[in-house]
Amino acid sequence: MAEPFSLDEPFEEYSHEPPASHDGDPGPLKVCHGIRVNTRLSLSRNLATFPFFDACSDDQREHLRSVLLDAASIKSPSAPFCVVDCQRMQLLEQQFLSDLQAIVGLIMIPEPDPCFGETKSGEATLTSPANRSRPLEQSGENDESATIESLVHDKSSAINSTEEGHEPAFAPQIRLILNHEDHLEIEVESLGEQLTPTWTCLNLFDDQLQQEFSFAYHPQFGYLTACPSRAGTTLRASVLLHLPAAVAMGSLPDLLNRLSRHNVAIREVFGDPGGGDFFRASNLATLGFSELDLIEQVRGAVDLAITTEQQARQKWLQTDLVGLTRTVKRAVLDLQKLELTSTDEHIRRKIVQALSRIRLGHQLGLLAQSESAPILGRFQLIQLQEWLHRAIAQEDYRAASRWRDRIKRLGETACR
Amino acid sequence: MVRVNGRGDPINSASILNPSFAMKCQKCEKPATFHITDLTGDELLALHLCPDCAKQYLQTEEPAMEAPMLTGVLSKQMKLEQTAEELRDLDSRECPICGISFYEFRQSGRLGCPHDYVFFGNELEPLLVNVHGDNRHVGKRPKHGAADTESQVELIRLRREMKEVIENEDYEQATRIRDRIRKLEEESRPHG
Repeated sequence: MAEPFSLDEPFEEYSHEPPASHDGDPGPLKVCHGIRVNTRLSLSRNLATFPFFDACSDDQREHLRSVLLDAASIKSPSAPFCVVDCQRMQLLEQQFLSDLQAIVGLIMIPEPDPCFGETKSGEATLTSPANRSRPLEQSGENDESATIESLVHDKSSAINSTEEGHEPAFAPQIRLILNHEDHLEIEVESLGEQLTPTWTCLNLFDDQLQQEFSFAYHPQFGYLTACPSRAGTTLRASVLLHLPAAVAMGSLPDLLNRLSRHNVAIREVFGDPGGGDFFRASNLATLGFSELDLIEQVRGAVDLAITTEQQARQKWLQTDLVGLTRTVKRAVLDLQKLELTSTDEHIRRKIVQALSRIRLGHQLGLLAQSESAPILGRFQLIQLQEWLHRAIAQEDYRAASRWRDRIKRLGETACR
Repeated sequence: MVRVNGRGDPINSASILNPSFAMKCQKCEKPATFHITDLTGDELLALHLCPDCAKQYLQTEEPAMEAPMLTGVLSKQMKLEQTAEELRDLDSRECPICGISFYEFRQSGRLGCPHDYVFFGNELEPLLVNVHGDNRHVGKRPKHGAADTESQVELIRLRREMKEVIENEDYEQATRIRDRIRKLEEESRPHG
């Protein structure tokens, strides 16, 4: 099972690059997993026998909600999912909190349900434990016997392992988004850049739902959505990137220019336009490309962005080591002064900016963990409490129990 | 084996994608390099602009652009391809299944039902090419056999009819429609 986040070693897991030498020798460039904060993939689906969401009556919407949730609960892969019954701002709020946690490095997936591997009626789900060690097919076709459990627990499948190091353990967060533009949006999120296993998880869940429903589909236009800009695969594949040096060293416009010629957009998140360090790279078109094509596009864009950021970081270290060190250390003080529970946009941006600098400081070896651990611990606690309150408000007591256990574990870790 | 996209162009890790794809600025014809997501009240506005238009937009104190991306593209497309009279005729066309008019689609950027892709197919195809660079799906397909599209469309039509008779408080007719819907649903349920 994926180890929950621990205060003891929050950053080695995510940054394989050794601290850059500070005597001017840049050293070899290496892929730094810390630049890739999280991965988010989603598919939009509409039931073929209903109008699109906007044209549905209230009764029809309620009926859709009910049948979709029932089917998802029965057919769900073994990892639990959460439901976002969506007014648009609620979804954005969920995604914002999720991104914040990923930035700090918290693995936020609830633990698997105790009834893991069983349907509500007690029957076994798709596969036996013997299949868990089978390597995954990295094609668009799922292995019929694969489950989310095998994706999460099969460390021997070498998901995303590279010569430089390893990605964070794959622990997907699955969201079912209802009452949005389309009847259903299935979103899967994971830490770091784990496009392939995240897609496999999403595809698997979609396949299982398609055993129950006919989704609106046209041989020429693909899966049909209310807005034609998402028809076809309907896949939105994105990776959240941390690019503080590219911003500071002025490398970003050139990167944006190069990517604009391809099917990838890089959008700033959190900050003022031109003021933030976090960007989400995602595919634009969804028609005319296969799902794996789209994932490769995003992966290529991410690689370009990483190279740009790496080079910018080296340059920053060489040209202004003292200033950079001062900046990251001051960020710790800034975060201590900010109201961490605030929902004010302006304060949130400052929080994110401080987190960006602290994260950068750790990755470059300019900030010791002991300098930031107390404030980050407090921040994580606040975030966990926020998730707990939300779960209680939505009467999801199973989820609330899991968040409560995490808070307890965080307290125990801090006391050691 | 070389993988190709829907246009037959090769895809490999070195060249991310068909380099001829370039999204155009919503305000002018230059390539869009700025992709801005703006929150305006409850609405999420996605904007794709060239550097000059982005600079102008970010510096202005005016409210965000009125139309979301798709309606902006539609509007430009209609001006190029339709006379005023043709546009009027087109706007008045209504889908026989869900009742949405093309005018309503142009205003909101959203269709009413899956059948609209057939009914407004001729108008949608150039729009899809404009937005996606292609109009043909090459990705995942449903695993179970081809669905009975006629039944699916009939179900949507019946649901619309049900909504109308309930509004008119004709509950006898509503019962008949409900039974018909149940029968069709049972027949068209996928067996996967």
